[in-house]
Parts: sequence; structure tokens; C-alpha cells
Amino acid sequence: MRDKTGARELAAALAVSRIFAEAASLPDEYHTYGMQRFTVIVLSFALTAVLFMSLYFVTKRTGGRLFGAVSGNGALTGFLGALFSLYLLYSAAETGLRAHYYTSGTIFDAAPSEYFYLFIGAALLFAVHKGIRPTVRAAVVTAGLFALFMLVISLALIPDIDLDRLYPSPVDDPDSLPAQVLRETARNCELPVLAVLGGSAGGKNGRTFAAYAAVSCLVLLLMTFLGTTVFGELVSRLDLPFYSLSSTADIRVLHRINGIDVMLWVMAAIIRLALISLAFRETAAACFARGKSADIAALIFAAVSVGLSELFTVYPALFTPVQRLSAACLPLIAAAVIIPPLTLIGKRRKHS
Amino acid sequence: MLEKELTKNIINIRAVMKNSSDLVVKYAKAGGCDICVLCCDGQIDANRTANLVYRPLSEIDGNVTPERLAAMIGGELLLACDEKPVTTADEVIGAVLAGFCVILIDGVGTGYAVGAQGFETRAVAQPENHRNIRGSREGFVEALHINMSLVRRRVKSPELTLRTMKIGSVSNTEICICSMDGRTDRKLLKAVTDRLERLPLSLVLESGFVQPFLEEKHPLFSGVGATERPDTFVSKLYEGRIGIIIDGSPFALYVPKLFSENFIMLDDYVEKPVFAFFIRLIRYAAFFIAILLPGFYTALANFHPELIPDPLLRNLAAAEALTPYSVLTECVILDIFYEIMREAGLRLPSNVGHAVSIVGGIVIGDIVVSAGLVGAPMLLTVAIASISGYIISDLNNQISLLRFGFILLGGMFGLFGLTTGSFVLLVSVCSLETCGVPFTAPLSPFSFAGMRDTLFRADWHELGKTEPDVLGKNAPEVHRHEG
Repeated sequence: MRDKTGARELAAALAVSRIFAEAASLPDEYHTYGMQRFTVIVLSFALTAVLFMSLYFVTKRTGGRLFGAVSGNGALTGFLGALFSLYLLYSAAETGLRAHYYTSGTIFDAAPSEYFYLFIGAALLFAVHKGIRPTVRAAVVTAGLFALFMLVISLALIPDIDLDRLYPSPVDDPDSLPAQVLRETARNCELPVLAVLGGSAGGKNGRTFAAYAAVSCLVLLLMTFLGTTVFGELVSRLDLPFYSLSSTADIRVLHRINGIDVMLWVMAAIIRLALISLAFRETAAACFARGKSADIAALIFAAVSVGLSELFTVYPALFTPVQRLSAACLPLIAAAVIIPPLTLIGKRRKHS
Repeated sequence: MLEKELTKNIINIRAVMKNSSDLVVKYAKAGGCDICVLCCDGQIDANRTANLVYRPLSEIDGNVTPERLAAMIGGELLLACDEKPVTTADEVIGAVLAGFCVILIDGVGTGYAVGAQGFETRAVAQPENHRNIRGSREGFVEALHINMSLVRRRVKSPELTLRTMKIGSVSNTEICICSMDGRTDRKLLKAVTDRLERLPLSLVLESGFVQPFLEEKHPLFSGVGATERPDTFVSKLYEGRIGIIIDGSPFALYVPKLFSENFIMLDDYVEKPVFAFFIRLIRYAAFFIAILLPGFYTALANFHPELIPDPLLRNLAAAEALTPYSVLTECVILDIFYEIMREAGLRLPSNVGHAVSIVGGIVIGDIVVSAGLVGAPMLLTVAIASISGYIISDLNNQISLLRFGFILLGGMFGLFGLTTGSFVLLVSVCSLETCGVPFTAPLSPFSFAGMRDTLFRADWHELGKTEPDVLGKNAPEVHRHEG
């Protein structure tokens, strides 16, 4: 692994990436905010931890790299790499689409989506070109700013918090709970990303996962707490829940701080896209390409993912079926359940 | 090798020196032998030469053989602290140009170089750029040996190692590599020394000539620091950095430099920690105001007026309605105008520079607003950003360039442009490392130990307990860059 970073820094980057997935609810995403939302978040991270187990045991043997053992195994390597790359491509395209949906609902208004993707794409290509170390360090700074911003928002919202809106019912609608948990779990594309990039952080995947999952879960719970206690039932109809919170927070000096909120979310989106693209670079380096060609492949992947986001933006009908598949958590389960045993098989073949 | 015949040696040396006018050749007799004293005009102290060279030689009684005279000069006579034999014409010339007096004896193939250096130097004075309220008023000067003494006076310990060497094949500039044994990483020291030894320059006139060869390539920021203050320089050495003093430059370099050090001043350590924290917070805020405020203003005014509070928005709209240009054009014009004034003020003599500042700042500034060319809020925004930029003197150039870039991004693409621009800048800064030490440490990668003297400044009782660990876990990974 030519580009190394720290486990704590990678955990912070993954947390920023994961939290971005909560920035906006896409049109077809169904969320029940309220007390059940807390249960959904906790259960989804519990399920994520279960899914992580198989990845953990495989990557533990290969220095934190999912494809560390199977490189050079011909057809099997190609198949695994292609499967994994497809998942990454979907995750990247969905991230781009979510970022566009978020910005067009806030600061980007009715500006043509081409401009948005052009800018995002340029920043993304720069980050991918620079590598994992600068990207992760930038994510640490973003995480710090985000924490500071959360603190300011939370303090500013204290007068608006109505604790009577919390009620002792962890499950409001048992029928919809499994679907919601799966949908929430499906947002953890950081899990496969960690399985590939973990080698860059010294292979401490268990520690990295624990830190990223704990921080993400706590932040999401805090956001849900604020949303529920400030907006009450209204929160179930919010497309941009955190933007709505920051818009509500009336800081005497800054007055309108939702502009800063948007800046942080856009940066988080680029970090998520960059991490996914860098995960593809490692996948490509192990499965398809060697040396510089993996770097070029990662740049092409980043450009293609942004292009795909634009396609999904222009033709939403193309995205809907893919999104339904993803909402059932199938791609993530495939990445976490199918690929690890195959890598072990590939490793045995290689040694035999 | 030097000839035994004195005349041949002098002819040879004159030929190599192309009969340069500043080469002084003084023939004399000492102990009955023909000798010649060579020196460079303006490089030696006349009194020292008379006392250390001419007087002892003229006091030799009777006649001695040339070999005996050479033995006396080389061993028995105490001519100077800095005395060495020279055996080749190149060594003679090198010594003469470095301010030595070289004594050549007819019949002996060895000369003797006697240190009698003495030339006009600027007196040690308060630094121009790094002023402080409390503490020493001494700043580095152009003479290397004076600067070395300023450093040594502050660390009277064998831990401090000063090693001189020459760089520049033509200028033969003397430099001094300073480090503290046991604190400086040896790999880092070796890497810096290797880079200096391999320096491809023939002429080194200023520390800025050397700086690019010590830092990693980056379009904006540098991982090599420069200071005019001996006390700052010594504190960096104490923290494990490598220092480089270059003859002819009042700016000493240190490697590596961190981004957060731009916001730390020596005065922070003599004030109460709470004030140090407050003032550092102000400096960070000033940096972001300096680069982002005009861009943010143009972005909000052009694309996101809903983010501006209503009463303020009404005032801004009223002011901008009276001007003929767009907000972006106004901002660009004002920023360029400010940069022109700054450049003019820097290069002109100080008394004229003040006049330019007054004419530019007050007269023109007032007239452009009253003439309706630029709105008063825009003028205020650019002025606040410009003044904020002065707080961090080491980053003045970077601030100017970044401010201009963010004005264009904010004015053309709004907050979205500012965001992507900020992200690219952040990744770019985070990618910078000097000899394996991240430029953004200890902020990112984050280190709790490093944070006790970054934004906050711990109390001296706390700071004094342990050794400084500024580079900390970011210990240099020199091998990676030197491979």
C-alpha cells in the first residue's frame, strides 16, 4: 500500500462520509421520523456490525485489505473486482445524486445540474489525484468543523427543544421497521470502503470500524433528537432535515447559519465520493490494473460516477429500480457476505 | 600545489584571479627571507592585520632559513585563533576571498592563512518583520558569524551543534547548519544536509534561493520557515527542527515548518495563557476573514441574498443601487487597487510609501465611494479583509492570491463555488509534507499532545514539565522522500 494514513483519521473520514448520507432524503426514500427513528438507527448500526464481522475476519488475515490475498487470480479476481466495482459505482453515483438533490434544494436553486457535477467532479478528481492521505486529513478538518457546527446548532436550538415530543414507544409501526432498518443499513457504503482502504491505516479495521460506527451512530441520534424535539410531527415530511434545523437555529450574531451548513455538507459529499473512488483504486490495483494504470482507472471511475449521477439526475426513472434494489440492502449484503468467502477461496487456490 | 619559488606562485595566483583589483599583494622581508602577504581589499581588518601579521613578522630577530621561518609561523608564533596551512593556489585564493591574510615564503611550498577578517556589517537591530512587545530586540544581520554568535549566546550548551559548509559553486556562500543533539531527528538532519550538499545553484545570495530545495513542491505554501529573530530560531531548534543560517541573509531558515506556526508569536509565551488563546483565536479568524470575506460577500450579494439579514440587506441594496458596476466587478477592481497600493508602499522609500498609503487609502477610497463608482459596503469589506491579512505577516502573499481566487469563485458561482474552492485548497494544504512531517499537524492528523501549544497555549508550569513534542507522532519519514 503506497499511501498510508492513520486509523483514527480514517475513522473520522468514514464518519463524515456516513453522516453525509443523512443530509437529504431522496424523493423515493421513506422515513418515519419520531421515536421509531432512534430504534432504526441503533438497529441499523447493530446490523452493520454483524455485516462487518465477515469482512473483519477476512481482512484481518490480509493486512486490512479485502483483495490483499486474491491479487493475480485471473478470472476469480476479475469477477470479484467487477462485482465490488459495480457496488462502488452505484454508491458513488447515489452520493452524487444525493449531493445534487441537497444543493438544488438549498443554495444551487434551479442552476443546471451540469455545472454542479462539473465543479464536484473537478474537486473530486483533484482529491483522488492527491491520494488517500490528503483526502483523509481534509476529512478530519471537515469533521472538526462539523462538530463545532453541531455544537453551535445544538446550543442555539435549546430554547426550541420541547421534550414533550419524546414519548416512550421505541417501535411505532412494527411492520415497517425491518424495511426501515435495511434502508438505513444500506447507507453504510463505508463498510466495504473500509474493507478495501483499511490496509492504508495499518490494517486496524476493527478499531477503525468501532470508532466510525460509534461516532456516526451518536451524531445521527443527536440529529434525530434535535429534529424530533424541535419539529415534532413535522419532521416526518422534511427532505433536508439538518438544513431545516440549521435554518431554524437563530444565532444572534450570524443570524443565518444555514449557508455554512450547506458548505459543510457539500465538502462531506466530495469526501465520500473521493473515498469511494480511492477504494476503487485499491480494488483496481489488486484485480485489474498495475502501477500508474490503477491511478488513471480511479480518475476515470470518479469521472464516470459523476457522469452517472448526472444521468440519474436527468432521467430519474433509471435510478428508481436501482435504488429499490439498494434500499433492500442487497448490494451491501452481497459486498459483505458473498465477496469475503470468495476471497478466502481465492487465497487457498493461490497458495495451492 | 604551490611552487617553492615565490614569484611563480604570485604570477600563478594573479593569473587565476585575472589581475583583480581587490587582490592586495604585499612583498616584505621577515627573518631575512622574502615573503609575500596576500589579502583581499575590504575583506580584512587593517588593525588586526597589522597586529596579528605584520608586527609579529617584523619582530623576528636575525636571519633564519625559509624552512625555519615557516616552522615559526606555523607553530611558534601565535598570529591568530583562526590559522591554517594552505598548499595549493586554489586554497590560497579561497582563503584570501574568505577574508584571510595568506603568508607565502620564498623557498617554501606551503603558505599560511591567518584569520583577519573584518568588513563593514550592519549593526544588530530590531527585526523589521517579526516585531514583538516583550523580549529581545535583536535580529539577525547579514554576517554569518555574528548570527552564529547570536544563536550560541542563547544556548550555552554542547547540545547545540553549528556546522558550517559552503554552497554555490561561484558564490561559495558559507552557511551554517544548526541542530540540537538528542532533539533533532538524525534522518531529518542527514536529509537536509544531503539536499544542501547537492544544491545545483552556482550563486546563492539569499536564503530564499535555498528554500525551494528544502521544501516539497507546492504552489502556495512552504514547509520551510524563515525568521529574523534569533530567539524564535533557537526555540525551533529546541523543538527538534534543523536551522540554516546563510551568509548574506538576515533571514534564517528552519525545517520543517507547520501551518499552525504562522499563528504563533513569541509574545504568546510571555502573556497569560488565556490572552494567548484569545489572540491566537483572533489570528485564525483574521486569516479566514482575509481570504474569504470579500468572496463570501460577493457570493451572498450575487446568489444568496436570502442569507443576509433583512435590515442589512436593505442597506446593502441601497448602496449597490447607486453604483454602475456589478458586485463582482467592484470587488475585483477594489482588490486589484489595494494590491497595487500595497506593492507601491512596499517598494517605495518609507516616507514616500506613507504618502502613497494616505493618497490611496483615504483620498481615492473616499472619492470612489462619493463618486458612486463603488459601494461603501464593498469598500468596507475589502478594507477589513486587507487589514486582517496584515496580522499574519508570513502568509501575506498567499492571502492575496487566495482572496482574489475566492472573489472570482464566490462572484461567479456563489457559495457552491466557494465550497468546492475551499475543499480543493484544504486537500492541497493537507497534501503538503516537509521531510515526512505533515504541514497541517497537529490539527490534521490530530494530536492531543500537539494541541497544548497550537490554538491553546498551556501554562508554563505545564509546558515546562515535559520536553516539547511539536513534531510528535509525526516524526519524519525521511526515507520515503529520499528514496
